[in-house]
Amino acid sequence: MECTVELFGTLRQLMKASEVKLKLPPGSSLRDVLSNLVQREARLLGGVVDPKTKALNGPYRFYKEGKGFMDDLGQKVEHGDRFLLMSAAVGG
Amino acid sequence: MHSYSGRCLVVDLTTQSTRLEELPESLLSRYVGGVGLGTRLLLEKSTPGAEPLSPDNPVVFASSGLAGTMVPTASKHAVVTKSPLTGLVGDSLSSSHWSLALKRAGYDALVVTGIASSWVSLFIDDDIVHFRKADHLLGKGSSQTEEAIRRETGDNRVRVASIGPGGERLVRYACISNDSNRQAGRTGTGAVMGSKRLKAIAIRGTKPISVWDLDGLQKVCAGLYAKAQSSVTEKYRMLGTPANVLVLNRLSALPTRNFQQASFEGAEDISGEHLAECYLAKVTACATCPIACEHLYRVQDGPYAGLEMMLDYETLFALGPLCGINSVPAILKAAELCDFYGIDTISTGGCIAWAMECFEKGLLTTNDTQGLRLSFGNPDALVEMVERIGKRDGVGDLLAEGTRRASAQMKGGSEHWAIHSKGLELPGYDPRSMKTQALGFAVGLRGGCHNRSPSYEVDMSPGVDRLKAEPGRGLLNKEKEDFAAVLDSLILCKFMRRCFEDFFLEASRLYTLATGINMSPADLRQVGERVNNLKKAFNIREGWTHADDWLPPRMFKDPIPSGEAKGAVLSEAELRMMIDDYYKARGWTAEGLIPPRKLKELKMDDVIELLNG
Repeated sequence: MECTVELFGTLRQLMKASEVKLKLPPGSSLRDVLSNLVQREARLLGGVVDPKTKALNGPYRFYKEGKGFMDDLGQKVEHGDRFLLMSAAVGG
Repeated sequence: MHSYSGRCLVVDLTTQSTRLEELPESLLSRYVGGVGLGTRLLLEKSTPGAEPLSPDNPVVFASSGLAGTMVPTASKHAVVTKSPLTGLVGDSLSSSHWSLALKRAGYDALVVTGIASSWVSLFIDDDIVHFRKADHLLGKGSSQTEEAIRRETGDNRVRVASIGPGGERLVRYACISNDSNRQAGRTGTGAVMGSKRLKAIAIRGTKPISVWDLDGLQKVCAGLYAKAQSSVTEKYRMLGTPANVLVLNRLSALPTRNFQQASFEGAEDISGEHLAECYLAKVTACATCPIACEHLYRVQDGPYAGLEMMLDYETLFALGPLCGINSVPAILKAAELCDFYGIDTISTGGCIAWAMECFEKGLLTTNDTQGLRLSFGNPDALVEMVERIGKRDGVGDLLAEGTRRASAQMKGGSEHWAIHSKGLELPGYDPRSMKTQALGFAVGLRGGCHNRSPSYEVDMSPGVDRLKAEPGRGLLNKEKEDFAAVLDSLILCKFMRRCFEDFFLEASRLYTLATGINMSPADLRQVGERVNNLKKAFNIREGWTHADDWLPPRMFKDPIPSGEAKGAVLSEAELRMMIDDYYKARGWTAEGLIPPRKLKELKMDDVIELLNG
């Protein structure tokens, strides 16, 4: 199963890519997506991902294309899903 | 009472006289400072129905109980007046050293009334106020004015707030600049100052500011400083607010070509990511701010080589995608010119984008523009139009009036694409793909504003369908507005908001530690509601009607043409439903009026007296 994660802001800087394609076993969840990203770039731990809970820190969130913002990391991922991982709008 | 001086300096420019008025604790504790205190003083000092650009419209500068203390990001002040753009309350915030100087000079507020017989500047030297001739400062930008006044006073510590040539010429969205590059940007406060022939207010403030519990305050602030430099605020330091560009672009919420589109093919070229890689010179901060969100960019080559300028998201969006521009050097140049002329970048971009659409639809021709091809995407036209607005030259004179007045004069259907609410040009969030923000823009008390009604946060929350208008959004918008009003009255930077675990508990404690005035979390929460009801009361007194809470026709007629939110549009029925929901959440009547019992419930008997009197 393959899904795509588009990266924005500091995430893009840290991972040096604007999107990554992930191959995951069937039945994987958003938590697995996050864990996979952390495996690729350990610096996500701290600023983006809470080292203790392994959840996204406050302003960071997933957005599923065509669906909306998501906070349930237990949400199952389907083949072809496209997620945006971003810090929500910051004012300005 | 600590921190507060309890003093308001009232300056009458007509008679060139000053007087001190007492600000009692009972008033300060209810309105706190900033926008709250400023609006309260505006209501008291202004003549009902006064023309915004008349001597009867005061301009109020309000400090706060936290300004000048060690509380991080509290070095701010509010400017409040009746807006020449909206005819309603106009409140705007600025920050840094001038804010501190006002407080250190011994004033919680400064009220300027009347009109000088010729151009003047004020020099507030602690307790002494000098009226000085200012003809020689005319035509200068804020940096030049500041330099000149410092030279004249022989003191580099003198802080200066001033208007630029745009304010002198009464551009209706002129701002007041201080510390060279900080602005009370929105709603045209600089035009009001210009109408009084007041070029600048210089302050030398040397008095100490006491706090009630120094040790206690130090302890709490140490924690806040640590948090403010942690990962919680990292995004502001790394890319700053320009990081919004690609996010909003992807969500079809980046207003493009005057809201004809909601995503921009040139977004990557002007993104925070690209700016950081190719243009970033320095990251900097306001006085007393540990966050440091300001990004200074430098142009390396081309006609604007050497230019250095700060940009935040709103300036970037307004002078960029809104005008179809993807040239960073041109955007930086336009922003620099906005600063020089002292005009609000959002309204400037909004007006130019409106004119570009007029040009493309044939309502304006090269005959009207002195040969300028005022097309979307033309960077030279953008830069040139900022100059013309600042000088009120040719079509720039029309645009200096704002999109509401300009479209009423232009006619030809151009009201359809005059993108404002109550006369204030909309900021960079497309309301068709952010429907809670649509409500916030429609009911905004100073006009459509993401800072006073920051409901984009609701739309970007899990569990909220941003493309739908649903019952309950009224309450969510009210809560966002009230929270913003608390921050704007304390005054704390909004970027601090995530540094608190329990905001009302911690912020009320900060307030008490600084001032010695007991403030419970519930009291502080009520301040937000009180301040918004106060602003509403002012608006009602000045002629607000139910019909003013609305959005431009484009939002109902023109669906977003492409991108993630393709087809999204707002219906009149859904906006009406959300507005009714909002009035109900506020405890207002179905017409949006405040019942007297609501004012009593909020301990606003003084306001009832003022309104009746």
